[in-house]
Amino acid sequence: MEGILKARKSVRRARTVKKYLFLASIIGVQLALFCFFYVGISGGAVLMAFQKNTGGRAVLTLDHFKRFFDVFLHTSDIWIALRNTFIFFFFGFVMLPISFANSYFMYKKIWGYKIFRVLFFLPSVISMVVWSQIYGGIVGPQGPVARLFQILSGSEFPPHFLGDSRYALIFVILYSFWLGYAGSFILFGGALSRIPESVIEAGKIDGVGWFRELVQVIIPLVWPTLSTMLILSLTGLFTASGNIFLLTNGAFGTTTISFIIFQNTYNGGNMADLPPATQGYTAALGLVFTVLTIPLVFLTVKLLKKVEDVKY
Amino acid sequence: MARFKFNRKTGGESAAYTVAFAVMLIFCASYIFAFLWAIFAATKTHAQIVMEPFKWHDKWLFSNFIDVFKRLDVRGVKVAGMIGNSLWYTLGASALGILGPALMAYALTKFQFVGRKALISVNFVVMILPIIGALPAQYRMFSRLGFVNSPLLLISSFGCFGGTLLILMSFFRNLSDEYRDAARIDGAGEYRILFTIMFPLAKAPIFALFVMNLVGVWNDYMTPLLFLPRMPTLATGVYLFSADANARAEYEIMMAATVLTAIPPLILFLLFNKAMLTSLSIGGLKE
Repeated sequence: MEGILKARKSVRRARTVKKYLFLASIIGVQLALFCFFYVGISGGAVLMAFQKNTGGRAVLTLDHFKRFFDVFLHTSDIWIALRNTFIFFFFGFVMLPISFANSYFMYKKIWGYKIFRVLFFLPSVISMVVWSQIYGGIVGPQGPVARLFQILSGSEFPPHFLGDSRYALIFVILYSFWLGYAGSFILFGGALSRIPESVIEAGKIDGVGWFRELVQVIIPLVWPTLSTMLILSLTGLFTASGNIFLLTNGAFGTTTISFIIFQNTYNGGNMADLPPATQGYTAALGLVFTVLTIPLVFLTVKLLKKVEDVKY
Repeated sequence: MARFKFNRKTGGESAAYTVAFAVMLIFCASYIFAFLWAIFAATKTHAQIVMEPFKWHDKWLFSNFIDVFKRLDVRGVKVAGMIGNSLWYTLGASALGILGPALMAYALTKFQFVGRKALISVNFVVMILPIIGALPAQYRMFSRLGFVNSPLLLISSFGCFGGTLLILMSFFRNLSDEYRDAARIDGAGEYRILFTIMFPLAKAPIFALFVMNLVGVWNDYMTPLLFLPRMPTLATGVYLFSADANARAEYEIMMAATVLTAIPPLILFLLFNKAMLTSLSIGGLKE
C-alpha cells in the first residue's frame, strides 16, 4: 500500500517537473529578456536621473531635479507641455465614446457599413508620415483650407495654420480627430459581434427601444472592453507624441511632456553625442511624471471598477 | 433577425442613423480624397506643385514613381536599400512580437502554476504604468549591447506583455479544452498539443494580429529613427527626406515616395481586412 502511494507521489512529482520544464521552455526566454530589458532600462533611467559625471567618475546628485524645478518654475515650456498633455488626454477620453458610437452603428449594419468598415482601416494602413504630408498640404498656406479662410476673413495672406501659435494646437487636435475618429473599431467591433443574438432578440420581444437597448443591454455587455480601453488610454497620457513630431516638431505651443522627452533623446539623430547633463535632466523629468501618474492611474482603475460593480 | 429588419424605426432612431451615416460618409470621403490628392501631387512637375498645387494637370507624370528609385537618397541609402531594411525589420519584429505573447497567453490561460497570477498583474502594471523618460537609458543600453544599426535590435521585439497578450489571452480563455484533453488521453506530448492543436485553433487571431503588426511596424518611423539611423527603412527614409531642406525642393519625388510606401500595407489590408475585422477582441464578455 505504502509503495503504491509512494509511486503515485513520484509520478505526480515527475508530472509537475515536466509541466514546469515545458512552461519554462515556452515562456522562459521572453520573460528573461523582459526582466533584463525592463530592469536594465528603468534602473538605468533612475540612475541617470540621480547621477552626474565629475572628473570621469559618476557621483550621486540632485542637480538634475534642481534644474527641472528651476525650468518648471521660471520658464513656460514645461507648463505649456503639461497643459497640452492634459488637453490631448482629455481629447483622447472624448474620442472613446465617439468611436464607440461609430462602431455601434456599424454593428447595427448602417447602410453601406461594409464599405465604411474597409475604409476606416485607411488611417492605420497608411503611414502617419504620409498622412501628415497630406494634411500639411491641405491645411498649409498653399492649400484650400487656408485660401478659404483668407477669402472669408478678408486678410491679405493665407494663414499658416500649423506655423502659428494661435492655430497650431487646434490644427494638431483636428488632425488627431480626423484620423482617430474610427479609433479602435476593430476591438469594439469584435466585442459587439460577440453579443449573443438571443439577448438582443429577447429585448426586442419585450419591447425595449433602441436607446434603452444600447444603454441597458449593449454597453453593459461590452463594458469589460470599454473599461480596458479607457484604462489603456491613460497609458498614452505621457507617452504619445507622434502627431506633434510630424506636424509641428513641437513648435508653436504644441509640445507635450512626452515630446520633450523624445526631442531630448532624438536630438537630431546624434544620440551618441548627447551630453550626459541632458540625459540626466530628461531622465529626472520622466521620473517626476512617472511618479505623478501612479495615483492617477490607480484612481481611474478604482473608479472604473466601482462603476462596474454598482451598475451590474 | 430578419423578422425585425422590417420594423419601422422610431423618429429618434432614424435621425441618429442619418447623422451617423452622414458623418461616416464625410470621414471616409476625406480619407479617399487625401490619398488621391497624394497621387495627384506625386504626378506633377515641380513647377506645377509650387505654382498651382491644386490645379488639375493634364499630363500625369507617372515617371516620378520611377525617379524615386534614382533620386531618393538618405544618408547614402537608396530606395532599394530602404525596402530591404523595411522588409527584414518588419517581418522580424512582427513575427517575434506575436510569437512571444502567443506562447505567454497559452501558458497563462491553459496552465496553473506558481507565479501565474503575478505575471498577469505584471502585465497590467507594465501596460498602464509606462516608465516615462526611459528613452535615453534605453538608447544607452541598446548601444552598449550593439543593437544600434544592427539586426540584433530584433531581439528586443521578442516580448511577452502588452495588448497582444491581452487579446490572445481573451481568445485562449474562451477556447474549449476538449481537443487538448482528448489529445492528452491519446498520449500526445505538450509540444505536439501546442503546435499541432492549440496554435492551429488560434490561427485566426494570431494571423490577424500578425497582419496588424506588419502594417504597424512597416509604418513605424520612431523606433528605426532612433535605433537604426544608418539603416533607414522606407518610413524613416521618407521622413528624413521630408525633413531635409534640400530635398524639400523635390516635393513631387517625396510625394511619390510616400505613395510607394503606402502600397505594401494597402495590398496586405485589401487581402486580409476580413480576417482582421472578425477575429479580434479584448477584455471578454460579461456573462
